[in-house]
Amino acid sequence: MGNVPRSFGKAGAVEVEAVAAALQPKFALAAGPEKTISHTWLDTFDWRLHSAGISLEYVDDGPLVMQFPDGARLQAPPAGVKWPAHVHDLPAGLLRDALTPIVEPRALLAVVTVRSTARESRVLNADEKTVARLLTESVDDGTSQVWIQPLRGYDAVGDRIARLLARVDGLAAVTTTPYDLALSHASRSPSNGSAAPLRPETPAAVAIADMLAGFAAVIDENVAGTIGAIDIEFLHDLRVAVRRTRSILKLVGDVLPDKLAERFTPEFKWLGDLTTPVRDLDVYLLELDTMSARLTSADPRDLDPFRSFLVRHRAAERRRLVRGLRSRRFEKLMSDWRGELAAAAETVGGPTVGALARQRVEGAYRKVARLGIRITADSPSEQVHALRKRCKELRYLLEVFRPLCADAPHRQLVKELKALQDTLGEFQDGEVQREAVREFAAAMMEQGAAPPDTMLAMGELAAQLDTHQVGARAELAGRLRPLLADESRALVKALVR
Amino acid sequence: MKIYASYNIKGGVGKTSTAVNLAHLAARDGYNVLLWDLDPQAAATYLFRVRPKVKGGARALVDGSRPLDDVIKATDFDGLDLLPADFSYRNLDLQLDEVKRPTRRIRQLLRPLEGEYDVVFLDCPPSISLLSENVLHAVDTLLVPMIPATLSVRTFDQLTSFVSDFNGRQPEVRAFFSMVDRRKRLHRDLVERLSAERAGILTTAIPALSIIEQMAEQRAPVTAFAPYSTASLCYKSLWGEVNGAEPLAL
Repeated sequence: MGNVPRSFGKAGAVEVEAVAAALQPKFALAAGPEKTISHTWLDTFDWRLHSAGISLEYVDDGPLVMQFPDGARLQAPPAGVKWPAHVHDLPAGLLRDALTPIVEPRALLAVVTVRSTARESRVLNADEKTVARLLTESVDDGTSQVWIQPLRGYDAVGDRIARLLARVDGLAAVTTTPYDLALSHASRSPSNGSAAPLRPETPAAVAIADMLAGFAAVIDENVAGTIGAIDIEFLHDLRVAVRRTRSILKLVGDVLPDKLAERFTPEFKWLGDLTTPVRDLDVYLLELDTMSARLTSADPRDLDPFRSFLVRHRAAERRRLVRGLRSRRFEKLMSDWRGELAAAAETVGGPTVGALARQRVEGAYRKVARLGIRITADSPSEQVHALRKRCKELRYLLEVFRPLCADAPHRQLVKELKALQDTLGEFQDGEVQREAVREFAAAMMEQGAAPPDTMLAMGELAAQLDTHQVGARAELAGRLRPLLADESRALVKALVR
Repeated sequence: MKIYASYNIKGGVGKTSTAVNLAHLAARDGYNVLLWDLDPQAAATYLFRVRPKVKGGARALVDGSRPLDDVIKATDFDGLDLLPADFSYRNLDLQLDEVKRPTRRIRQLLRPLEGEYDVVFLDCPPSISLLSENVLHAVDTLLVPMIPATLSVRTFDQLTSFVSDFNGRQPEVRAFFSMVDRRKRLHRDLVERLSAERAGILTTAIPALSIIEQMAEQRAPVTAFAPYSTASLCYKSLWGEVNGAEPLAL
């Protein structure tokens, strides 16, 4: 697409005659009828399409239209899809193929429906061929927008039309996309929830309470999607917010007034534990295809009873999770928590968050270094797990205090830590999943749902996971070296500004 | 990407009308559709008001110096693009003969468009030539409009037998009766008898109607300018049948 702006705004209605006059004598305007339309925009809950500069929309019962940042478009039959829907519910074709890598595993939701008075007009050349479309929409607030819709093979003409329209009295070029404009009518939008920047001189209690309030908001906004089983990422995001809350309470919660950390830690542990089984089962089910594809002796189909067992087990665990999230206990936890955090945010005095960050990051790094230095290829699993936990704590602190840190050392430390954590994660996952496969096998035997072929295939799975863990262990020492080097110690010292 | 061609050795049997109307209906159903007007007479290109001009002509397309992507034009209809005809297409045979694997070239040229289009229609000139052989190798389904006459059906039989000799991939051959005049007893009898006798003949028949001829005046598919006409209903039924739905009871 050309560089000339192709969107225009106007206070009041757009006069077709004025637009037609501006286009003459080179082009004629064939104005379509004015219609009341219902225009729906789709996106994931975490705005993946918006972040990629893509829009996905439909008008009334029309086809789904996906528009890319360069103006290219794909469409697909509406096929009676009800929203929210997963990408695999859409009709097979190019649009679905293009959406899948961006959207999966999230569902598509109708994020906003705007009713407007719209007119589609065609700009014709001397052969009376349509060379561009002009879309005019007016919404209730009295403002109008005009968009030039590019047509393939006539891009240069689109630029020329844009220049002619820029001369129409009252029309002003705007950079707002139609999707962004529609989002101004939505109850949620991508900019919502951006927290105020963290400043080093803020009292630590205030900064930490604000941070926790942010996590509480994430928990709240993911509850409905988790209960409604819209997609598995709602539960994942809810759990991440709970885990962050628990880590913050553990690592810096002592700066909060009224023994808040002490009082709320058990309740957030309850919430974390409530969400664990379903998420674990989600992960097993997600990974089962990859794991079964790697089987060499058993047939992947031998694992079908295992998959059915996991699905049944998940359904039972989900009922427990939903009961928990609808319980009085959860409701009270969140309302008490929000109230206490609001009060804590009014704290005056005490140490600054800058001083706190420096002290705690250095402390967390020292713990990692102390454990890490002792790790060898033969260290017992418990030591490796202890190191993994300390690394996680350091990572949380680096994440939450990032706005207070100098960019370059922060980037470097996170990079080294992440590489180490990936290996530690593989080590841990290998062990936990292998144990889980054993427990599931025992449970299936107990329920009489375990054909011999399935048990053998599960045995092979466990062996695969074991090999995986051995591989991760062998990599550990190499991954630890850069993080424990003198250079990294110096980076930590220079980290908090 | 599913590729259809509207093809017959004979001219004037409704090939362009078929390609243009079915392509329009596919796009209206929400598919991303490309129509390639391979006929140097450029009837489909004219209907869509696009200039029948391809920079570098047939040679540039066939030798790959100009990718198909560069010459595609949007039509006036959402989701339907056109690869225009050019008078130099009259020499397509000669140009195809100069490349390696000359019978597979059209398929090869279309391959890079797989990420952009769900459905491609090829509107072919009437002939038996290297181009037609290319088309037969490129398509998934060959749509053969036939005037109800014993000779047309002989041609259909020849075509089916020719395609069945292909090694490997063979296109589906789907014929249907076109320009049917229900007032002519011969037409009625032939349509009934031949449809029953032969596999591969679709149930929908397209009648000879003046509104179809008006496409050249209106410069649009009949399914666009007269969507509720008998002609449009017949094309909808045909598209439904081709696309896997039951034919409409007309």
